[in-house]
Amino acid sequence: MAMQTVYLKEHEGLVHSSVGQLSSVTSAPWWSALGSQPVYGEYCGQMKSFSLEISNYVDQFGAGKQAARGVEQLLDKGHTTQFTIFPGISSSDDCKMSGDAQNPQATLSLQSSLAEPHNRFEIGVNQPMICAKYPYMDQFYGLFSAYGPQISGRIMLPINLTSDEGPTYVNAKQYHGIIRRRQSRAKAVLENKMIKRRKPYMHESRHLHATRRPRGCGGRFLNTKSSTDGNGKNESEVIKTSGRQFQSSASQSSEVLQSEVGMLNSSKQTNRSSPNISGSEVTSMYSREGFDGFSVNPLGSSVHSLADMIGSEHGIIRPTKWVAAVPGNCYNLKI
Amino acid sequence: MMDNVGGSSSNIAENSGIIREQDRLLPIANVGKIMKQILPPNAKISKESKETMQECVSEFISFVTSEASEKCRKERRKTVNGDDICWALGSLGFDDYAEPLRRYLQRYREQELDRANNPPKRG
Repeated sequence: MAMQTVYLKEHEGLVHSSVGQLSSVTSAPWWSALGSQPVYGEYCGQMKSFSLEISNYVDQFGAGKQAARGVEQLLDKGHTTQFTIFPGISSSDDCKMSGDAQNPQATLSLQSSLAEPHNRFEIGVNQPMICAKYPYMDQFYGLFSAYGPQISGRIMLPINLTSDEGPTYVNAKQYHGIIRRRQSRAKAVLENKMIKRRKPYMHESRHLHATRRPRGCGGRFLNTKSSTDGNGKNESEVIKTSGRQFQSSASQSSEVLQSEVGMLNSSKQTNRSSPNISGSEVTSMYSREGFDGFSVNPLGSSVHSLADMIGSEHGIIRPTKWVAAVPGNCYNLKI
Repeated sequence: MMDNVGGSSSNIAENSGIIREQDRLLPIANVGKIMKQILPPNAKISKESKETMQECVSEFISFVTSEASEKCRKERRKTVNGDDICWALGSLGFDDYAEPLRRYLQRYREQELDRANNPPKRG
C-alpha cells in the first residue's frame, strides 16, 4: 500500500483534507479484526494523533451542537494539520470497483455545486456503496471509534450558503473548490454578466424564416429530405414545449439550408469549400459558434429571399405557425 | 498547452461584458452526440436531458479548471497545461480519472512529437 504525506495549505490558511472515505458502520467486529493485524501499527500511530485533534475540535463546539449536527468531521479555521492519504489498492478488480464508487462521488459533488434538492438523499444512498466497496477502510474506522467521534470524510458547507432544507455535506477535498466556484458565480450574477434564461433561438433572422416555412400535419416542415442522417436525428428528438419547438425548427432550417441551397455557407467542416468565406473563416466559425453556424447580416437577406422562393413555389403562404389542416397536402414524413 | 486567456472571443454580435449562453455552455448538439455513444441505437434523449447534462459538464469543466488555475496562480505561472489539469483532478478526489488522463496526455504528446518530426507533405 503506497503512502503519501500531503501538506495542503490554502491562502486563507484553511485546510481541508481527509483520510479517504470512512464508513459509519458499527465498528465492533472491525476493531477486533484490526487488532489482529500488526502491519498497520505505524499508520495507527499517526491516525491516533489525528483522532485526538478531532476530539479537540469537538470540544470547541460543545455537546449540544454535536448532538444536533450528528457525528461529522468538523475543522475550524486557522488549524493546519498534516495528513496521510492512502490512494487505495491498485489491483484490477479494486480499480474497477473504485471506478464505480467514484462516479456517484462526481455526481454528488456536481449536484452540490449546482444546489440540487436531492443532495441529502444522494448522500444517504452513496454511503452504503462506499462502505461495501472499501472494506479495508472499515478497519481504520474501528480504530477511530476508540478515540473520538465518527469520521465520514465530509465537511459541512456554511449554513448561510446552503438551501433551507438543511446543511449539505461534501467531499472534504472539494470543499474549497466549491466555495470558490460559488463566489465566481455570485460575482458573475452581481455584475449582471450571466444570462440565466435560456434563449429559445440564437438568431432572429433564422427564427423568422423557420416560422414562415410551410408545415405539414404534425408540425413538421414540408419538403424536408428525410434521407439526411442529421435531419433524421433532429426529428427523432422529443419536443415538449413551444420554445423548444422553435429551437428545433431553427436547427432544422439550418440543415435544410445546408442541403438545399448550395450558395449559402455551411458551418460543418465537411463543407469547407465556399465561394464567399475562406476555409479558415469557416473553421473558426465552426469552433466559435458550434452547431448553430454563423450570424452574418447579408445572410438574413438571403434567407428572406429563400423564404420568398419557397412561398412562391408552393403558391400557399400560411400565416400560422402550427398545423394547417389542409386535406390535400397532409402527409407524414418517413424517417 | 492551453493559454489562460481571460477575455472572451471577439465577435461582431457580442454584447460588451455579457457572458452569452454559447460562451458559458458546451454546444448542446455535441453533448447529445457524446451521450448517444453510450446508448443503444434506438434510444432517444430528451431535450431536458441534454440541457441538464450541458449544465453539469460545463460546471465540471469550470470546477476543475478553477482548481488548476489556483495552482498556477500560486506558482506564478500564466499557462495552465495538461499536467495541471491532472493534478487538479487528483487533488479534488477524482483519482480514478486522473491516471487515465495522464496516460492519454502522455500518448498525445508522443503523437504531437511524431507529427513535428514528420510533417505531412503538401502537394
